[in-house]
Amino acid sequence: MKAIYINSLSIAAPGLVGLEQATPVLKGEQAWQSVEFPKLAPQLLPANERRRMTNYIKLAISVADQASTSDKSLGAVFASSYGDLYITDHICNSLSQTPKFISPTQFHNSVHNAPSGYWAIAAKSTAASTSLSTGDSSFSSGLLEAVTQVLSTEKDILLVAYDYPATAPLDKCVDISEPFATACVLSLTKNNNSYGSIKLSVNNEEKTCSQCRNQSLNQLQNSNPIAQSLPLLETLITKSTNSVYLPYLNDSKLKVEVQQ
Amino acid sequence: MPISPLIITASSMVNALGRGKKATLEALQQKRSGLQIAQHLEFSTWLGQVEGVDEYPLEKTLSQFNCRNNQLAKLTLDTDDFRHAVNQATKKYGTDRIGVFLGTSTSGSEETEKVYQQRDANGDLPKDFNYQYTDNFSSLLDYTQQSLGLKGVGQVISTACSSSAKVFATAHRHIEAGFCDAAIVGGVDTITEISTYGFHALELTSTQPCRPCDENRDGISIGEAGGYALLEQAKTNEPLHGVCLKGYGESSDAYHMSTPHPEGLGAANAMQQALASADLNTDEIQYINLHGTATPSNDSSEDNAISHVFNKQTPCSSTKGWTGHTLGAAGITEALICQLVLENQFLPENLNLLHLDPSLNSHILLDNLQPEHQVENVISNSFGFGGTNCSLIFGLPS
Repeated sequence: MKAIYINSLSIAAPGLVGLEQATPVLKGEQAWQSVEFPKLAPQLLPANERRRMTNYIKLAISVADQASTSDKSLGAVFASSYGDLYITDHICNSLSQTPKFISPTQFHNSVHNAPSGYWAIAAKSTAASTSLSTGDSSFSSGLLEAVTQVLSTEKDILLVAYDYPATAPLDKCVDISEPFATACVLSLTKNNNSYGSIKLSVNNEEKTCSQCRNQSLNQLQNSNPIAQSLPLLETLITKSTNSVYLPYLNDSKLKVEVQQ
Repeated sequence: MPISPLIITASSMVNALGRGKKATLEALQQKRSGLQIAQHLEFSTWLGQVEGVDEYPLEKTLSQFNCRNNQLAKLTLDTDDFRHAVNQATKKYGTDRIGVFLGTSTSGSEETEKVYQQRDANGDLPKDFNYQYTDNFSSLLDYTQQSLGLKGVGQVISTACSSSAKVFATAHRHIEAGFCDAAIVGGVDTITEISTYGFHALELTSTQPCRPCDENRDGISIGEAGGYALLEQAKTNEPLHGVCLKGYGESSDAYHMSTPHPEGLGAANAMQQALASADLNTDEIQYINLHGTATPSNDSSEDNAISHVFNKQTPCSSTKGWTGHTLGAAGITEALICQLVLENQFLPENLNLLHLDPSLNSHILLDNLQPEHQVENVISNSFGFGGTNCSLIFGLPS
């Protein structure tokens, strides 16, 4: 497999809102601290659109916007394990009332590709876009999909991965305690800001996933399926050469070989 | 850039027309719709329901996946000798070298709808409710992989009504990149209250059996379906045989969340990309299976897109008058209808059409047609909320 370069990165999580705040923690220079996650207001969206959007959609749009600094018209891969649980809760609640009624806006926001659709409109991007899930390994599957798209289109691809906690009563069914999102631009060519190149393979031998080097991040890593990307983000931010093992399907691991 | 074709070496389908490809083919040839008036909704509409799903049990060892969507998945895997074909392929490739790429819009969300009715005084859901194995999108993938004994790469794509069309493109890319040697693609979507009441809230459900392309069309008839296809690469130095995936195109409208671009620009872009990847000209396509949902906006937008790309002679039809709009399973259902078209050299009419909308310019088939010349290549369109578009080209070996 050809090496694929990671040329841009963004992150949004409690205590890690944006690269400026996240970099010292991901470099191990500061301990991670559990702080309240702020309300995001992605400026790419008009105010009236922003009001119609849930925190889940705004989380995805924020990291997509920050990662795609030079070109917003890229083909995109959206990966989320559980979809918009706030919408799921509201719709199921509405359906348990008499008469049953669903808000039209909530219904079109309920599709798994709602963030992708809003992103295309906001970014004015008519390129192909997909929205996928493989449960707790959704970040790995998004990375695989993005790499196959770079290889087949020979164009840069934007990967956006995100999950947001549920409210009651779904919070007891879904193991997400913190918001977490990350996005990156993958490319066949290296640019000046490149964080290194990756090669992917599915590995059936390795028994455990990589853990964060900054041990204060362990709690966050286990708080959200997408936060399993943290050991990879640490490697990329420090521009290190390392192999990272991420959760993948059927207890296998996705081996990500990062090189500089 | 032209792609190398993949052969559909096995496939299975279940929908309102019955179990198996033969049931669908016969219903198409006999002009028999599978739509029936809805019995359990608070409004009047017609649905394309699959009989016998509720009574169809999962394997005892996989009972944690129990939900209607996975029951329809099992019913589909058990149809058209599909399991046998997968077993043969597994011997050839190994359990970890066959990818599984599936589409669904609502997965097992009917389970969450049900348990919300059973909340206790504190508002808590029943303790035995298992969200991960039922409602979650990946449930369909996990169930299918475990039911077939496969352990390779996989994905659930959920892009509304283009979901199980896009799986063909994703499978092709994963094979090309070397992450698997063959792939199972498909989609399963059962009728849920989220879909029925949701489309009703948007005033998009028809009060009659849906009438795509009719001047009096008033919306969709929601359907449910399952479909799977095994895709294999052609052996080098051996002639191709069977129906092939020859091309795919994907695009975004970037226009509106629930209304297609009025000029059909995104749809036209997807069709043009599909033609380029199949290395075919428009005059080499002998049939277009329309997305054709029967909403006023979809059929008009799609007609504009087709006029933009094709000449007015290419025969088109929507088959949703037969199956209903099977949402996340529409892509695979109509892909397999295209397989039936190519294998049987038969073009289905646009069922339920009484008065052709005079504003449409495409050549809509008013009657079933046995074509005079061989049908070699066909295109199938699937579009969805969020402005997602996918066009697939299937054909006989050239």
